[in-house]
Amino acid sequence: MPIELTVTLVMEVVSGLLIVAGCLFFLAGTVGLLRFPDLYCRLHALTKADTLGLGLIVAGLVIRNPAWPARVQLVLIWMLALSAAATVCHLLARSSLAAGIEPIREPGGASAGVTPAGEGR
Amino acid sequence: MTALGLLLDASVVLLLVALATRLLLTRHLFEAIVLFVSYGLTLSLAWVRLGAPNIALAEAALGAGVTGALFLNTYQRLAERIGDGAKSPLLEDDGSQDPPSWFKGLLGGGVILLGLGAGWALIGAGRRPAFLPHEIAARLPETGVQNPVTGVLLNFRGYDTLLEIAVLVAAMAGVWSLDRGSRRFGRARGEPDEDPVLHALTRFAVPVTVVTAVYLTWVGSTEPGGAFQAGSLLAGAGVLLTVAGILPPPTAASRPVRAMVAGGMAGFVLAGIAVLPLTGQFLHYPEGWAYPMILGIEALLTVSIAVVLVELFVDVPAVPEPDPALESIDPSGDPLGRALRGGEDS
Repeated sequence: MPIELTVTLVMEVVSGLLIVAGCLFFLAGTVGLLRFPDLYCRLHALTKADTLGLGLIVAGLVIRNPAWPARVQLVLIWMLALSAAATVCHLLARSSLAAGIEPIREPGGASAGVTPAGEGR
Repeated sequence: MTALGLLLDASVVLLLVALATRLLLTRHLFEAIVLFVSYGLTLSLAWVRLGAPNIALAEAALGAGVTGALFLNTYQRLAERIGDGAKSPLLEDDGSQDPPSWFKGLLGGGVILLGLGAGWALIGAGRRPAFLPHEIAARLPETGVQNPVTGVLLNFRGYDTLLEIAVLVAAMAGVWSLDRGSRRFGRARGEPDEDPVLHALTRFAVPVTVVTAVYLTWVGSTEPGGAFQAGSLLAGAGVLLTVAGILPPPTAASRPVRAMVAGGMAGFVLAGIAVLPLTGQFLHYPEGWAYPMILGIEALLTVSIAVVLVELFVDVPAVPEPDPALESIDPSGDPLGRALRGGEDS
């Protein structure tokens, strides 16, 4: 097998694996968002999906796409999403703490604080 | 179309229908807002799949982003006014004010029939050749731009866009005249409570956003982009700056703010009048002048749209306190306050 073809094949496989791994992170993040008991745990689950999942998918796409402008754009998008997600998570947690929403202290224990808006259905 | 593309399209369509159904049926205002934003983002995905990146950009930035932020802002104000834990039909409808079910059935059935009829007219009536795209493509060189969407919006149908910006300016005037003590975001510069993380993001994101907005305005003449997309991006930067306390919120009291709000519409109208002696028609650009005029109008529109959107977000009119002066004149006055209290005396 010629060496170029082998390199292409390896890159294809690596890129596919990275994208699938990224999707798994998003899946885990979504499950966490739906299943975790309080706002702080959910934020934890969600930001892992945003940062790592998106990063893995971007890495996979960068390998796959031969055009350099597109590669730079992809990495820029990832960096923007990364900083925005981290900041939003911090702001949400901070303002929730300030509003008196208590995090759960022990597994299975009920929170003493107010439930977040839109949750009491 | 590939099988994967078909799968993606089908899931987008199903998601849209599911979100819309839930959005219409929910009785919680907060849930409705969240669903509205999700619906807008899914819709912009649908526009991307339909090959309409212009509308996808506008839907994501304006339909989901800015409108969602305005809704959340309003919700927050209502919830503050109603007070903690209090029930109000404005936030959570218990269904007691619903019309009788036969009426709801009639209305729902009518709407479904109308939708099916429109769908049949569109799909069932056979494929007609699409004349409009050909006509536009044939006459695109006359518009001075190469992006058909911008050509239609700023040249063929310049009136439409002029009226759109007029609506925004009118909305702004309405908000300003309703203003009874607005919320002030942010804090004075250098105050200890300033959030360092938000500050860092703002310093990093705002320059990137401004560059992208300038690029979008510029590229609007040849590729997807334009004043509304760029304006909403700039507005995002403006909101970040005011919320982080770096810039004071723009208000009607500031002369530059008023000038920027009026600038887009004023420039548009003046340009339309200025070409009258040359071409004899309002907004009919003379040959060779179309491109610079459109670019200039787009730039002014971008600034106007951005300032109006920041203003609308920052300057939410306060929900008025019951006005004793009003109560003494009209005992049934303060209809908003009555609605907030749950309509106990209606």
